[in-house]
Amino acid sequence: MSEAWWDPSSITFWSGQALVVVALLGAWLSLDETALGQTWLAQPLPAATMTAWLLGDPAVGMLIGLPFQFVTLGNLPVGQTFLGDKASPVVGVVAAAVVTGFLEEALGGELLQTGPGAGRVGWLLILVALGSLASHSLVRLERTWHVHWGTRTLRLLRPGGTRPLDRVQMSSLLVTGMRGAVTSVVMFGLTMLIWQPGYGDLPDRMRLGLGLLPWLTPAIGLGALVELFGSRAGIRWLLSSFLLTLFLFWMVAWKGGAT
Amino acid sequence: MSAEASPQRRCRTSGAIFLRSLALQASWNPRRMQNIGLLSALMPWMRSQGMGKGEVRRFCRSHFGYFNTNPYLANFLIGGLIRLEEERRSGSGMSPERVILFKETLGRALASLGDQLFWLGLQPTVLMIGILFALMGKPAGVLAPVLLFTVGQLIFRYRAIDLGYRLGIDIVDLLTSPRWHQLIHLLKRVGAVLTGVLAAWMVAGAGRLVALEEGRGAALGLVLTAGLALWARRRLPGESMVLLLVPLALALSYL
Repeated sequence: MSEAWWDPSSITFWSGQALVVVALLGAWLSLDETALGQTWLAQPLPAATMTAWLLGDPAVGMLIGLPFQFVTLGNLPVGQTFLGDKASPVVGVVAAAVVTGFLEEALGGELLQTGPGAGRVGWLLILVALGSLASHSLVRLERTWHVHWGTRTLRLLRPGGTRPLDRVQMSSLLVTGMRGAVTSVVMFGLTMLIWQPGYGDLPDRMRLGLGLLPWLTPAIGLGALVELFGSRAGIRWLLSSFLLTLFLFWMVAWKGGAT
Repeated sequence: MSAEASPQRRCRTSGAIFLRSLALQASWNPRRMQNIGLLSALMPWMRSQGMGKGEVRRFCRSHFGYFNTNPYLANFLIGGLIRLEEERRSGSGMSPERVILFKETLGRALASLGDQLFWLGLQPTVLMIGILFALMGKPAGVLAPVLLFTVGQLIFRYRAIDLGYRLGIDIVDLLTSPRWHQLIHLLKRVGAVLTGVLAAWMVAGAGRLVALEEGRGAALGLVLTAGLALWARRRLPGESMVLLLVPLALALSYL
């Protein structure tokens, strides 16, 4: 056992301060996802970058946010609903990684890399995905509650007042914000106290495999994008820019080699 | 919002409607979708009209039914709806049935337009620009396109209320303008170009990896994963895709 599964020593004054940032950001970004504004700041990459930046290390946010953004690029709310709450797990996990310096080994190199540092990114990526899937039931519960509140509001509107409508809107916003704050804080604690210390107990083979995980995620995003933009009209543009960029890369590499 | 109201009062009402319209989906529910959000957005106008209790009850009941549209374009409808309700109240021959028909028809049209414009065009494009900046290691570049979109969409949504109000039922003409489709085509082309750039970036990275002994599994994995994504056809949530990738990554680690 190289590291304990439960690591209370990671709780410091700094992590207490970070907790406030996590709760506030979690609440705001959960509201932003569907309930209020929908500015897309709650998308994984901006949410992770912003969280990590506020806590002092934006590169950590991009390390986790980028692969998760790739896998969720195809989750578009058209003709189907993708339940779950991506923003709060991202906020909690990224904040914990910044506070503990868990991803220091992965910093400095390329963002989507393979190797030992990437294994840690892969490990956290699994937790973000599990956290988002677990919050499906909370979001569903919240929406069922909205149905009941809606029916109740219709009854309360009968006397001719409009206050019940304001109350239901305000309480819906409050509940969504609270859910976001609580989920982020729970994910923050879970990451710091259990998930990160648990990485030390993983077999070497598992760590090696996890090291490939962030590197594989862009293919998910690209697959979804090709399906989205690769129509008969779009494929010419796609292929042209693909070949041109590849040529530019080759030119840069060739020039670099020549000098 | 009424034309006779003072400019100050109109501005105040329009500001209050705009702020409430941002929470159109706060009470989203699977039965009637955005109905409570719509009623809440119409509330400042309703209060400014000095309606009696019976009229408030009738108004709320008539707009409490199913309502669903694109949140970014909804303010065109809200502005138009207010205009039609004012015409109905002034007795100019606008029937309640016609108002509801306007709401339902326009709601569906805006939802379809918004899907193409925002969800299938702008969102992937804005996010791809952010991704490219992230690949260059520029955190400010990640946030800049999203912040630009945020400011742009807020201004657009604020102005849409006034435009919807001015056009009233003629808003249908605005929707038939070819400019919307030109914009959608442009966004799809930009999206296709950015997808090509991203794909080339990844292929170049994979090329560098193949040169390394341990990178062959990663390069093969990239091809297999792209196949998995095309097979899934955007039906599976990304979170499930991550979990599906774990056994694949483990298997590839043996190569």
